[in-house]
Amino acid sequence: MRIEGIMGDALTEVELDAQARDARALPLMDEDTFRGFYDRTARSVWVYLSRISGDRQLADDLLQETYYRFYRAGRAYESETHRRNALFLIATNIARDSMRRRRHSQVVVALPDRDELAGEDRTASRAEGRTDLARAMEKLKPVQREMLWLAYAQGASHNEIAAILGLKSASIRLLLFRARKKLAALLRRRLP
Amino acid sequence: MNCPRESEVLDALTTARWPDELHAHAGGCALCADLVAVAAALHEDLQDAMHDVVVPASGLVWWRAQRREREEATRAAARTITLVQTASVLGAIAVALTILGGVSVMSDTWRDWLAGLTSAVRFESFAVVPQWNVPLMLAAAACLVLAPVALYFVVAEK
Repeated sequence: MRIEGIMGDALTEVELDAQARDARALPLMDEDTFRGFYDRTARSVWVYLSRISGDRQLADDLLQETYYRFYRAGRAYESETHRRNALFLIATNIARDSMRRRRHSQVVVALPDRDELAGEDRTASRAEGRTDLARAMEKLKPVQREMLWLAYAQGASHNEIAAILGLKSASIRLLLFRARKKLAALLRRRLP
Repeated sequence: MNCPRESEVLDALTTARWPDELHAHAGGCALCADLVAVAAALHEDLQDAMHDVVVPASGLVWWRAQRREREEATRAAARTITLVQTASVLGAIAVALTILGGVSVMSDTWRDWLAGLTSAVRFESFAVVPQWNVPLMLAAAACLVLAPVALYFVVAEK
């Protein structure tokens, strides 16, 4: 199985696990391992942070903090998937802490910026759709945003979502269903 | 709550290959329609964002992490030094007070012994012995006054 979304599109699970095994031999993450892992995951983590926090500037800071805490944790992981889940767990906790601190300030939705919208290969309707999505996501609870993003953008399983969000695995199905229904109603999107 | 064909629909979305029959099913199934609406929007958003987003270079992030680790180690060491200094000052004060207290008790004992001796031998000159306590008491008072000041300076370094 090829891992998409979080992992990018370059390596298979077997190849990634082999890399993780190499890293496990070391007590702490060395520079090459860290940088390789960062290169594979940073963009998807940034997008995740941006979408769940609703703040692109904040996502920049949170990204740095996420990788620092991940590095400092200095843990060995069974596989690349475990390592990736640990990274998203840290990212989620950092974003939640940050949002809790900013509870009284107004949340700014991470609308696509002008550069993103002006891409030559982007159609106007697609850009419009992304703006609609950002606005719809704003109306969801933070945990719903996290859950939906992990499930449908990152392709995480229910067990992975439960581990990352600190929820019971059995409750994910229902919570995901409710969140999906709510977002779908907000989007009123047509079939492709 | 979930349609049994959900995984097929997700695969079709990911691969952008929609068999006619599955497309017809998704059009008629409310659960799949919601799934398509949400999953397609999020998947597209991720793909676009992954294409456009610019994150700091891995070397820069590594360097920042190393620098921050060193700074935190320095701060932790400074905290330890401050604690040790504070403990040393407090310990020294405690030792000083103990010694002073011991001397004071000893001087009382000596005074009583000497007073007894004086009365026995009738030497009036030993009446000055109790005066030894005055400088000791002054030293103890000075320590009590200076200890908080010293503690303040040690803690203020932080």
